[in-house]
Amino acid sequence: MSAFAPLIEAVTRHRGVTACLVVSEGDGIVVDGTAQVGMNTSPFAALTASLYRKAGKASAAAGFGTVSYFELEAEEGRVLAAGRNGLLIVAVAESRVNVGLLRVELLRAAERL
Amino acid sequence: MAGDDIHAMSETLAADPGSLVFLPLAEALLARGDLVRASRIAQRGAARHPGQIEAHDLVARLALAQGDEERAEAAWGAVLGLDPSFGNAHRGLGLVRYRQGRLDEAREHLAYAAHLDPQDQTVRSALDAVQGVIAQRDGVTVERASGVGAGSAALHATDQTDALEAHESAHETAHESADVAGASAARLFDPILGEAKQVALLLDDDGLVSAGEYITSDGRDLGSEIGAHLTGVGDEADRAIRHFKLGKWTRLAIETEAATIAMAPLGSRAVLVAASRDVPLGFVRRTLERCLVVATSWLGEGT
Repeated sequence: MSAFAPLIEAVTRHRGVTACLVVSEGDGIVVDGTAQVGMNTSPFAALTASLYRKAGKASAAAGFGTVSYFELEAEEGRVLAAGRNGLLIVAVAESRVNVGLLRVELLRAAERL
Repeated sequence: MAGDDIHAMSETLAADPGSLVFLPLAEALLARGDLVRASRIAQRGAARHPGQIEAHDLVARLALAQGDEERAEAAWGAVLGLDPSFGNAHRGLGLVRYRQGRLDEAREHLAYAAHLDPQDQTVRSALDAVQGVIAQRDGVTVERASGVGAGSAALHATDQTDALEAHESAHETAHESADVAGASAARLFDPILGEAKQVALLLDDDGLVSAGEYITSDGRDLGSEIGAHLTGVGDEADRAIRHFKLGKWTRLAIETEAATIAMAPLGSRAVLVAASRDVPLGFVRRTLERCLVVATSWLGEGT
């Protein structure tokens, strides 16, 4: 069992979460995670990390400091991410997910990255 | 640290409660993520060894990890009572004060911590951010006097007096400009941003600001910088979520140390709202929805 397994398990336990990945922020490589069979997580992880980096650059340019949480809402679900120490914990969830709870879970998990 | 080591240290501490082994034991438990047990052991150790600086520092770090800023502040206060030059306490207190919006105190602590450890990038970034925010806060009066960007200036007016003044100023500005809001791109969102500490921008598909503004007191156009960095976010977002068949992106929220940013697509453009961190995320989203309505109408009329 990897060091991230408990974090991933805590996130995927939430109803509506379909995938959870630990991703390297710098290059978008998947470090650990779980997703539905058949999902190609590598390009998704790379693009999500890229979005997170863009958010970080915009934030730094505005003097807002580092990004701690990122949430992308879509027509049929959400992508949520929290980062620390060059790693991101990313969750993919259905629209019905309790966003408040999942946000807290991700921030808590990020503290342990 | 192996579980055996933790077990051995626990036994040593049980046999000799006055032992300093509580320090590595609590650190090991912290590293393992057992915050509750680590905190209990560190607090007992600090109470037994009130002159042990590292014990108070550990109590503070654990308290912060558990979200108890009050206890962390008290513990770091105890550290500085023993050694006013203890860098970690200045670092911790600086970051806590920063989060609380007590900027002047944050700057003092962070500057001292940065002086002690110039390589600490976290402290460096926080200090830069605090200094930037203080510069903006102190520029509120200048901006208000010139009648430019009162709502924008209010974003970082975290001091209560400044916030109140900026709030009143923003209302005045909104009322004064209500008649021309539709015609003035820069002030398009002013009537919505009557509340202090928020700015709103309409970005085109090249990341250029079409409406709204975010100009700092020293004349820096932060709107353009934010827009430039967020160019193409919509395309990337759609490409990312396509892999999970989630449809098109509809909203983006970014939480940072000092601000919350919410963004939504509007055709090939995007509307962005940035607010001070103490503005609730739900309120920021509500502001974004209202800005979207105004921007949609303005684009229909104005372009």
